[in-house]
Amino acid sequence: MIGPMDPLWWSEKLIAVAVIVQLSELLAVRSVYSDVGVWRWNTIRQDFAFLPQWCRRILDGGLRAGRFELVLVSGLVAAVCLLFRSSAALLAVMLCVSYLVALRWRGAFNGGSDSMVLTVLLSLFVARLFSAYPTIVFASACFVAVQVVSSYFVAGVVKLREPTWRDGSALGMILRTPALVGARIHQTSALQRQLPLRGLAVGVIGLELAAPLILISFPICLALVPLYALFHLGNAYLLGLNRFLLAWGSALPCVVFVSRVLSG
Amino acid sequence: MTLISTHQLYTVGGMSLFLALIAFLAMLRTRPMRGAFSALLRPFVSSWRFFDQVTELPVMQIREVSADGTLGEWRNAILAPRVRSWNLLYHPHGNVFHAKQTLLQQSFIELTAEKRPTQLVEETSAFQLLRHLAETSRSDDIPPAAFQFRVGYELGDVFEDHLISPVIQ
Repeated sequence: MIGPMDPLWWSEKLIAVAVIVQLSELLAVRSVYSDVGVWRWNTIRQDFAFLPQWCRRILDGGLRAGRFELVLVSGLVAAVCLLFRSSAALLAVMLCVSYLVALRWRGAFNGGSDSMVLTVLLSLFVARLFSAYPTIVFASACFVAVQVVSSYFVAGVVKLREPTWRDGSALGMILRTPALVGARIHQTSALQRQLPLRGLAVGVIGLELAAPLILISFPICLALVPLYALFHLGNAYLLGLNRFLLAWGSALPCVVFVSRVLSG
Repeated sequence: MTLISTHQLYTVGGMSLFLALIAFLAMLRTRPMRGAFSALLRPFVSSWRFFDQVTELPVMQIREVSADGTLGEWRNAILAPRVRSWNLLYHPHGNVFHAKQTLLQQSFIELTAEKRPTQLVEETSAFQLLRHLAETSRSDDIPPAAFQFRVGYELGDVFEDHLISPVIQ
């Protein structure tokens, strides 16, 4: 049964919002991928010279300036429709468009957030296509949950082994690097002088390493998921990573679903 | 009555094995994906190693070269856009700013990873994208002229350049 009581329903609606925001953002900055912009298709297509000619023709047809906007609009329309109606076909369109968008930017426009959006879209597409088979639906949700837990846990492990993260200096450096914080540099530079950086860094590492607990215990999951949402909200505010907030926000209902089932 | 059910035992056991495996993989020093097919797979594969090593990031600077050959001042090519309250959810120019930084870092790694003759470097898509990045960051107020860009690290007041372009007409 698909409805608000189904956690995958929430993932579906939230991923629709994420895709609407992402594609609208790209339509708002058309000049950067035009024929006189930074990401000119004539230059990027050289990376695909190894593909057979028919593949290159398809990519040329969809990714060159003028056509690419049509691809974005088709994804946008599918995402808006998904807000009102669950459908594997709509998810398939969004999946293809998101993949083409990533290719247009040589792998990713915004790093890991593009990967998470593709993970959620792929899993929801499979879940909706085989909605009559609860095992496949659960396996699809598990795939998203494993990716989410891995994303936090791996990030925690790699930080834990770095002395500069353990003593807080890495966090301080992030907050005063213009290339990372952009226009918030004055606020974040002031913050890094006032905040207890070591405590915050240990808190971030602890929160990331605690991620596996959300799959073991449902009460812990309900306690931690709002903290992760706040964590992404903080990153969106300080580092301008709004796409991560939306991508992980759409994945978290799948995590709640899997946690509830695994906790019995 | 047992303290832990078989179902929970399997969950915890499976989870422990999984965590041990990904912790081991996370500890390995891996290199960015390269090669022909990496462009196709990269969107689906993320290392999830967010901010693992926080080091100085490369910076791009450009300068104008007038018709008589006079060199202008070096200035940063990537400028951060203004931030407003609604940018918490919708931030197109902020994301372009991040995408430019990523493009700069990736291209810089690609171009400095191996020594190549200058002509071959200039033919790569990585160099051409950097050139477009420099070209589009030129001020509209200045009449079209030749320009030059460099990529390197800002170490206090000193700029340590690792890549410098020829004068581009």
